[in-house]
Amino acid sequence: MQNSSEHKFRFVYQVRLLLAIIFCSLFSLMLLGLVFMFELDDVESEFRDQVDATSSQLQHKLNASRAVVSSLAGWHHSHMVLRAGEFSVFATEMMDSYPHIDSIMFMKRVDQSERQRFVEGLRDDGYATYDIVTLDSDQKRVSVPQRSLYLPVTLVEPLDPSSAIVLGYDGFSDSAVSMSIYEAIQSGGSTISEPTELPGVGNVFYLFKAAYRGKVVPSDIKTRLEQLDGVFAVVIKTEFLLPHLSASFDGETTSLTMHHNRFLESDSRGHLVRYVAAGSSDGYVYQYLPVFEVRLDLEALGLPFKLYFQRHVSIADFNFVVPAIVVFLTFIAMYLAHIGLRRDYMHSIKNEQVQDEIFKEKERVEVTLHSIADGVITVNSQNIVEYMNEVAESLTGWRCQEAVGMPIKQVFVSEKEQASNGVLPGANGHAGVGGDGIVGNYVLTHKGGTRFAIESSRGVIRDRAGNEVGAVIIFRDVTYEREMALRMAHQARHDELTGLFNRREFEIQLRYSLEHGSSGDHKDVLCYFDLDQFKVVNDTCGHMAGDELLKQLTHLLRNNIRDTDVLARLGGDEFGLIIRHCGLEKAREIASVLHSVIREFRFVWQGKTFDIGASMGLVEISRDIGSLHEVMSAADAACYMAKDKGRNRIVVHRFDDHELQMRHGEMLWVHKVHDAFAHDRFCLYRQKVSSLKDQGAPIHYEVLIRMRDDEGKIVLPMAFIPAAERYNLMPDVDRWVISKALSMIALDVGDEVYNINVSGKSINEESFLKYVADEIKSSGVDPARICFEVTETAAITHLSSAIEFINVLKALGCSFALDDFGSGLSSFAYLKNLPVDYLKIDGGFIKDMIDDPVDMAMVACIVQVGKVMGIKTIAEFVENEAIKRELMFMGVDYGQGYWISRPELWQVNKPQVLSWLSP
Amino acid sequence: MILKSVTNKTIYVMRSIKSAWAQGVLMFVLICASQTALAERCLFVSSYHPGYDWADGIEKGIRSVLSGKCDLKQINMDTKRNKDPEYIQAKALEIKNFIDEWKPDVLIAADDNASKYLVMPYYRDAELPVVFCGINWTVQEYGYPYKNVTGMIEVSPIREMFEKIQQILSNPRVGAYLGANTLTEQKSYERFKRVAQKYNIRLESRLSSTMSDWSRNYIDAQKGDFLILGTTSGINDWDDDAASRTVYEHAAKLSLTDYDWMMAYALIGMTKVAEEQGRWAANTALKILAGTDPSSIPIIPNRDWDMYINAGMLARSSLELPQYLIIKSKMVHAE
Repeated sequence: MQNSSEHKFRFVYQVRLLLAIIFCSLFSLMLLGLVFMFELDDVESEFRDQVDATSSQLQHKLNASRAVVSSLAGWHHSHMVLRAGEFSVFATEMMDSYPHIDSIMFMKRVDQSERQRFVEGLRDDGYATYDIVTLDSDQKRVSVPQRSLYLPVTLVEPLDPSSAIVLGYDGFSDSAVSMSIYEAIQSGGSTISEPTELPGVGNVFYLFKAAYRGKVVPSDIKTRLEQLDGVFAVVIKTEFLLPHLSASFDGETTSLTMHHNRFLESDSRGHLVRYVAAGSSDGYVYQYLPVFEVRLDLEALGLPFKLYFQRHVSIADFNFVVPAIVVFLTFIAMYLAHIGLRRDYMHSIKNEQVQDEIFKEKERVEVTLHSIADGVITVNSQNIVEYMNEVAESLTGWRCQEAVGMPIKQVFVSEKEQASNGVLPGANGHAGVGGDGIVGNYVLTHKGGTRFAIESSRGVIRDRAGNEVGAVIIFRDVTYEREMALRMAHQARHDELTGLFNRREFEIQLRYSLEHGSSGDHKDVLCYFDLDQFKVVNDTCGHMAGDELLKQLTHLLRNNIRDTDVLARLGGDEFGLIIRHCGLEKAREIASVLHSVIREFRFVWQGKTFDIGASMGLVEISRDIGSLHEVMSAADAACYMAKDKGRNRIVVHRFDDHELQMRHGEMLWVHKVHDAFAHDRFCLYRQKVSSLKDQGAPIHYEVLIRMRDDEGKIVLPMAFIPAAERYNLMPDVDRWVISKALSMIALDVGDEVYNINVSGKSINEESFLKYVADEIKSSGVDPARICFEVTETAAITHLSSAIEFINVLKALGCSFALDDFGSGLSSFAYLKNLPVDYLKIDGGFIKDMIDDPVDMAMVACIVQVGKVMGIKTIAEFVENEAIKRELMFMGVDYGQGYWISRPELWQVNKPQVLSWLSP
Repeated sequence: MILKSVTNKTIYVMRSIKSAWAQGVLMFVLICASQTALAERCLFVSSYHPGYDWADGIEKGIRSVLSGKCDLKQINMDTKRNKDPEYIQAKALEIKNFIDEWKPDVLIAADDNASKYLVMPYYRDAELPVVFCGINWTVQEYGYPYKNVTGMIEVSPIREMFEKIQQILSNPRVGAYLGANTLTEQKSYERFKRVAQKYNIRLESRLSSTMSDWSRNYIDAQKGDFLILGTTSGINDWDDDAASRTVYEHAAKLSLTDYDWMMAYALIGMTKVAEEQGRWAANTALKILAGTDPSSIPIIPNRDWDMYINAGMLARSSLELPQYLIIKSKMVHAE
C-alpha cells in the first residue's frame, strides 16, 4: 500500500518536475529568443553604422588621395627640376598626413632615344643597378624590350629595401596600368587603376595624375601626350585603405566589395576593394544565422563606385553573458523547482507515512481502549462525546454510535459519592470537562438505572499551542473495591466481635470530645468499665463462651445508650463509653442503667449460668484534665478503684481524691515505663553484698534497676515499680534486667555473684522461665554467678510457679535468695517448700534491730532457721557499724547496706573488657 | 534547445581553448623565431676605426636597426690609419678566416676597403650575402653587382653644391678640392671634377698627406674662386687647432664641404648622413635574412643630406649669401 502511494507520488512528482522543466525551458527559450532578437538588432544597427562610417572613410581617403596626387602634379609644374630630395620631403609629409597611402612614385617619361642615357645617368648618380624593367611571368624583374616610350619609376617614397624594388618599373609595360595612365592623360585629371599585385607590397591600386612639361597643362589630349613629362602615382594599399574597417569588423564575418563601375563592367576581378574579415564562420549554427547586406553607390574622385557590404552574423556576434545568465537562472529555477517538488514529494510520502502511522496508532489506541477494563470517553472542547470504548458503553448503557455527538452530561450521568454509607458529602453532580486531571469517586447511573461506584479521572487534550481541544474521561467500576474499602474501613474502626467501635476509633472520638466537647454542665463523660466475671467464663467455658458473652452483652448495652453516645470495646472485657453532652450526673445515671443491665444479665452457657458484673469508672471530660491519655488513665484509675473496692460498682473520678490521685499517678508511671522501654532509658546499678564471715567468699552484687527521666535524672525504682507491678509490666521489666545483666556479667571476668530480682508476676508467667533459661544459655555466663532474688510475697503468691522456677534454674546452676524474708506471716511455713540458697532478711528488721529487741529476736530467729536449713542469710539495710557488728555476732553470712557499700552505676571496666577480648 | 546551447557553448569553449592553444603555439613559434633571429649572425666589417666620425655614424645606424634582431659582431679594419696594402690584405684575410669560422648569415661591409680587400677577393658571387655601404660614387671597380651583393652607394649632393656656388658667386671659374690623399678622396675629387666640368668650372686637386700640406694647400686654394673641403681622415698628423688657425687666418673665399665634421673649416655644409648608410645596410640585411634574394634589391645611392652655414665664418667673411640660403640653412657655430 505504501509502495503504491510512493509510486503515485513519485509519478506525480516526476510529471510536475517534467512540466516545470518544460516550462522553464520554454520560458528560457523565449527569453533567449528575445535576447537574440535584440542582439541581432544591435548587430545590424552596428553593422549599418559601420557601413556608413566605412563608406565615409573610403570616400574621404580616396578624395584625399586625389588631393595628394594633384598636389604633386601642381608642385611639378611649379618647379623646373624635380629633385629627389625635395620629392622625398614632400611625399613623406603627404604620407604622414594620409597613412592609407602606401607610397608615392614618380614615373619619368623616357623616349626610346633617351633610354640609354637615362639609365646611365641614374647609374652614375648611384643607382648602380638601375634599369627599365617589367615583371615576367615569374614576377622577376626583366628589362623592358625596346619600345618608343617608357614610363619607369625614378622616385619612390618611402625608399627602403622593399620599395626600392619598384625603381625602374615601367608603367607602360602593364596594360591595366597603362590604360589608367592613358585615362589620366586623356581626362587631364586623376584616375584610378585596377587593383594589381605589386611585388613586395601586395594588393594595391594606383591613383595616377600626369605631369607635363611647362607650367601649364596642355588642353588637348594630343598635346598632353606630346608634353608628358611623367606620371605621379599614389599607391594605395587595400589594407591601408581600410584600417578603420578592419578594426570595426575585426573578428566578424564581414565582407566589403568596392567596385568601380568601369572595372565592374570590364574586369573579371570585378572589385576595387575586397575586404573579408575573418570570423568564426564554421559551426553548424552558422549556416542558419542571418546575413545582412548593404549596397551603396559612392561618389569619389569624381568617379562612381559601388559598395557592397555583407555581414554574416556569427556566434561571436552574440553576447553570451545575458543568455548565460538566462540559462543559469533557468537552471537555478529548475533546481529550485526540483527542490520544491522534491520537498513536496518527500512531504507527501512523509505525510502518507504519518497518516499510516496515525491510522495504525488510532487502530492501536482503539484496540487498546477496547481491550482495557477502564471506560474511556473522549469529548471535544464543547463537551460533546467523540468516542467511547466498550467498557464505557457497558457502564453508561450508551452505544458509541448513539453517544457520539451527545453532550457528556447526558451520557455520563454521575454524582459525587457520599463519604458515609458509600456516598461522601459534597457531590456536585455531573462530571464536567473543566479543570485538568480531576480524580474522584463518583456514582455513575447506567442508562437503565443501575448505579455503579466509579473512580474517574479526566485529562485535558491540548493542541500544540496549548489550547484545550477536548478531554478524556477514564473511569472504572470500583463498586466491589468500594464495598471492600467500606468494609475495611468499618473493620478498622470497629471491633469485629461486637461490632462496637474499637479502641482506635474510640480514642478518635474521645479526642474529639476533648477538643470540641461542651462546657459547663453538659460536658461529655467518659465511662470506663470491665466485666468482673468475664475471666471466669473464659477460663471455665472457653473463649467461645467469652465471645458469646460479649456479643450478648453488647447487644444489651447498645439498646440502653443514646445514639449520640459512643460505645467501644477497648480490648478483652474492657469497654469505653463516651456519654455526650450530659454532664456528670446524667452520665452517672446512664452508667447506672448500664451497670444494672450488666448486673441483671445472666449468661447461660452449656447449662451453666453466670452472673456478670462490671466495675465502672467515670471521668468528666474537659480540657483541663489534660491529654487523652490522662483522661483514659483517670478513668482507668477510677475503674481500678471500683475493682479495688469490691468490684461491680461505679466510681466517679475526682481530682481531690488522694487514692484516685495515686492511681492516677501510677497510671502516669506506666506510660513513663513504656517510654523508657521505647527510648532505652533504663540502666543498671549494683550494690555490693559483702560476706560478714569469710573475707574470701565471693562478693555478691545486687542488681538494681534505675530509670532516666526526660531530663536525664535518675529515677529510683520505688517510683515506677509499683505502677509496673500493678499494671503487669514487671515481666517486661524483669526480662530487660535479666538480658542486660547477663550481657554485663558476660563482660565481667571476675567471680562475683550477681543477685537479680524477679517479680512474682514474672515467675507466674509461663514463658518467663523459658526465656530466662534461654538467655542464660545464650549469654555464656556461668549460672553459678547468678542468684535470683524472689520476694517472699511473690513466692508465696505464686508458690507452684516459684518452686518450678527455682528448681529449673537451680538445675542450671543458679542460686536463689528469698527476699524480704520475714515480712510475711507464714514465712517459715513455706520455707520448707522453697529450695532457696539465701534468706534475705527484710530490712525492716535490720535497721532497727539494735534498738528493738523484737527485731533483734526476729533476725536471730531467721539466722537460726537458716543455719538449721543450711541456708545462708543476708542482712539488708546495714547502715552502721553497730548493726554490722551485731549481725556478724549473730552469724549472718552477708550484709548489704550503705555502711557496706552504696549502689553504684554498673559499668564494665574497660581493662576487663580488653583482657577478655584479647586472646 | 538547451542541449544545443550547451553544445554550442561547449564548442565555443573548445574553440576558445583551441584558439588559446594556437595562440600559445604561435607565441612559442614567435619566441623561437625571435631566438632564431637572435641566433642569426650578422657581421659588420668597418673599413675604418672607432672614433672616425663617418665610421661611427654608420655603426650607429647599423646598431639602431639590428640591435636585438641578430647576433651582431663588428670588426674594424682600421685602414684609415693603416694604409699599407699588405696590412689591409692581411686584415681582410684575418676577417675571412673569422667568417669561415663564425659563419655569419650576412656580411655588412662598410666603406671601400672592406669591399675592395674582403668582398671582392673572397665573396664574389659567394653564398654569403653581402650588403655594402659607404662606397663612394661607384662600385664598378669592385665588379658590383654580384648576385650575392647589394647595398647603398655614398654620394654627395655635388650638383646641389655647384648650383649653390653659382648662385653665390657670379661667375666661378676655378675651384680647389682639399682632402686627404686617400682612395676615397681621390674618387671623390674625380666625381666633383666631372660635375664641375658640366658647370664649366675647373676644379683643382689639393689632396694632402700631412697637416702642413693641408695648410699650405688651403692657403694656395685662396687664389681660386672657391674651395671644396673633402674629409681629412687619412692625414695622420691632423691637428684641429692648426687647421683652425690656418682657416681663421687665411679664409677669404667661399668654402663648402659635404662632411659634417669639416664644418669647422667651411662656410657652407651640404653634408651626407652616415647613419643613413648604416640604416639602409642593416634593413637590407634583415630583408635578406628574411629570405629576399640580394640581387633583387637594387643598389641605390643615399639621399639624405642637410645644409649648414658656419655662422662665425660667415660673420668674418665678406661674402654675401642669398637670403633664402641663410633662412633655409641650419646655423652652426664651430670654428
